[in-house]
Parts: sequence; C-alpha cells; structure tokens
Amino acid sequence: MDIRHPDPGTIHAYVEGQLPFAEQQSMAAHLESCTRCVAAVAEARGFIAAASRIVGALDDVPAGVAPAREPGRATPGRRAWRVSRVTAAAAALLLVAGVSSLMIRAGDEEPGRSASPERPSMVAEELVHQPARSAADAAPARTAATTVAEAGTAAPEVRRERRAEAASPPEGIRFQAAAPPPAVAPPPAAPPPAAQPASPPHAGTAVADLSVAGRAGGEVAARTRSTAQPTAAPASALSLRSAERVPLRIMRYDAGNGVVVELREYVAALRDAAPRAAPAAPVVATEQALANQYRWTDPAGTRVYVLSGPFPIAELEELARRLAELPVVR
Amino acid sequence: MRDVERLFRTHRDALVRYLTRRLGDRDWAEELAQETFLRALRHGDVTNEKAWLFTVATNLARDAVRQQVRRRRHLQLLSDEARAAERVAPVPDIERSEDAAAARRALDALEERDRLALLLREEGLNYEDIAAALGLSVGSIGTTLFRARKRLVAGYEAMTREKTGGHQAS
Repeated sequence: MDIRHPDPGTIHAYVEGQLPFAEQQSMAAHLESCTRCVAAVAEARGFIAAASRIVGALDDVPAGVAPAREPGRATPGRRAWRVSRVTAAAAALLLVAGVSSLMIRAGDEEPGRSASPERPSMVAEELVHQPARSAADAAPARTAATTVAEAGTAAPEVRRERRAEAASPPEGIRFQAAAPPPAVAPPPAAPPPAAQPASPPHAGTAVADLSVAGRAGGEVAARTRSTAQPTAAPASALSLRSAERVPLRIMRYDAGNGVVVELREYVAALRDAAPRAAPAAPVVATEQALANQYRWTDPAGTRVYVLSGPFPIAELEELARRLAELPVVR
Repeated sequence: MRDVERLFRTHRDALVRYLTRRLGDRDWAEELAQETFLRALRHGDVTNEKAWLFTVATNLARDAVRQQVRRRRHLQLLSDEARAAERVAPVPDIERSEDAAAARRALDALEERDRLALLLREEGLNYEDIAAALGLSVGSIGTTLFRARKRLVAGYEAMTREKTGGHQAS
C-alpha cells in the first residue's frame, strides 16, 4: 500500500473495515495528517451510502416483473412489494391447505421439515366454502368496518401477469399444485374462533408458524362467524332484493391467547376492473367490530384476500407477509 | 450439510433478496434460492455456510442468466454498452416507482463482476467471501466495489435526470 496516498480501492477497504489490521492502523495514522485522503474517505462513505440506497430502491419491485404482458398498475410505491409478495403466497397457501398437503410442524426440529421454531405455533383451520352465488362476477368483499383498513395503508392492488397462472410458485412456499382444491370434506364448519391452539394437525389443516409479537389486542370476543350467509331469498325469480358476497375460502389462524386472525379469499371482479369500482357492489354482511383488515388482490386479479384481526394495519400487513414466508413444503 | 433447516431460516431471506436484486424477478430468485438449499442438502459440511450459499447462488444465477440470454437474445433491448453475454435484458417498465426503474437500469449497466460484488457486499459478506464467491483476489475487491458504487451512483443520477427531462439539478 502506498502509504502516502492509498488508492481508492484501499480507501474503500479501510472504510469498510476490511483491511488487515496493520494496514488499517497505518491508514488511520495517515489520515491524521492528509486532508486529501480524508476527503477521499468522506467521498467513499458517500458512495457507499448512496449505492446502498440505490440498491435498496430495487426492492420496490414486485415479483414476476418479467416477462410481463401488460403494464402494471400504478400503486403506492413502498408497500407494493410486500403486497405482491403476499398475494401469490396467500393464494398458494390456501391452495395447498386445500390440497391438505401442507404440514408444517410448529416448533419441532424434525429433520427434513422446514419450520420456524422461534415462532409460536399457529393452527389454521380451513373452511372450504363453495360460493353459493354468482361470485364470479360480483365485486370483492367490502365490510362495514373497512375504514381503518382503507386508510391509505391497506392493500394497494397489485396486478401483474405471471408466466404460469395458477401454479406460479409463491414466495416462501413451493409446490406445483396446479390442481384445484380437492373435494376434501371440509372440517366441521365454524368452530369457536377463539380456537384451540393445541389441536393437533390433521389432514386438511395446516399448522403454520407465525410470529405475531404477542400484541393480541386482547379481547377479541369469540367471533362466531358462520361462513354460509344465507341472504334473504328473493321473493321471486324476477326480483333480487339483495346480494351478498361470500368468501370462497376462509382460513383462521390462532395467534395465541385466543386471538384469531382470519384470511378470507374472494373471487375478484372482472380482471381489468378496479376492485372497488364494481357496479352495484354487494355488501358483505360480516362484522369485524374489533378488527382491522388488510386487503389485497392476487397478481392475476382473480382473487381478493382480506386478512382481518385485532391488530394494527401495519401488523396485519406484517402477518400477511409472514404468511408468505412459511417455509417450503413439497 | 447438517441442519439445512437452520440455514434456511437464517439465510433464505437474504438469498432471495440478493437474487431478486440481481435478476429483477422474484419468482426466478425464489427458484434459484430453492435450488441453492437443495444443493446444500446434498453437500457436505462447510465452515463458512453463508459464503458457500451465496457462492452457489451466484453461480446458479450466472448460469441461469446465460441460458436465458441465449433464449431471449432477440428480445433484448440494446444499450450503448451492450454486454450481451452477461446481462439480463432490462425488464419492461413495470417497476412501481421511477426510483426502482432507475435503480434497475443503473445496476444492469454495471459489469457483471462489479454488480455481483456490490450485491454480495450489501448482504454483508466480507471481502474475503466476496472474493471466493466471484473467483477474484481479495485485494481487488476494494477497487471493484469502489468502481461499482461510483458507476452505480453516476448511472442512477443520469437515469433520474433523464426521467425528469433534464430539469433536475445535477
């Protein structure tokens, strides 16, 4: 090393603490008396920081960017990547749960299984519900209590094409389940939502590790929500007095302490219609009085997901992200 | 390797992030990350697991990119400094923000070696591990990073200047 004026590479190495100890020392000594190199160090720090920021800006990009067949929609920047991560993951998660092949043991160190032992275990119960209405072209769900969820931070819609549609590998969960959910008899519907954390996994349920940081908003009263929502039957075939959207599927996750978060999947509106702009949007008659909602659309634009629970929106979003990070199961 | 499960928990996110930044495609990145861990399963123990993982991931990415470049050459957007063999075609302007688009282009404009060194450094690998992953000498990493960063910053600023029609003060 030229002790008088080290080259920029050496300066970089010094700034990043990567020089051998002796060189580090002599550089430090040199800097005590060389303003030129002090300036070079400052410049190097600037480049390091700027480059780091620029690289970080890449993470705003959603998955499945290439090859795209249609331009993405403009959505709020920062959240988008997180949303996009969740979309496919949620779709896939539900798909896999339906296939009843998802067995992620919580907390165990079984070899060959991927799990997150640091996270408290959660039990998911899947209720497979066949849409009773013409869900295919109705608008996605809206609830009466969506105000918080829609306060800017929730669910920017992410629309993008994917190479493989239904079977696109989602983040964190790998499987090639292109098959639709099998005709598995759904587990008994609507168990008490303040659920049994210890119920052992069995076919048709998924045990997933999620960390909710224990901030259960506490008292979520047992929400007895029935999935089948019979609407007032039309008086005659000629007049439909009300319409109700029901979810395609509901997943419930026990977040511990009797707190439940719920993930609902709805069939979305027509592909290129903004989910909120549906004509004559039906109202979903579910109440989430104590819960917030985080909503997103899957990349193909065919599904809308609503994750609700007694957590701040930001935590719901984080939960949704963690749902996507369930380790790989084949 | 022993306890790949732990490796998975510890390093998967970083691997996917690294590969996503390199490839600009998260799905692709996840596939390659998968493959990396599968190889770890089949491989014997190593002393420096993180470095090993990133080395394997880097090689997989390089191979995958070359393969794809060959297939998509006719679609590739050419730029002034086309280094066809080692660059992924710039993705269409899907990015959510102009910042991300500019960052993407600026990063793609780097030489492959510089780009990889920078991305590996961003994942916290030390110079020694970067050198091992890229097959370079440790002594050259500082220079490589300096060049990569300087060019990235310059390229990024040029992109953002362009986007604003040159009205931005430089």
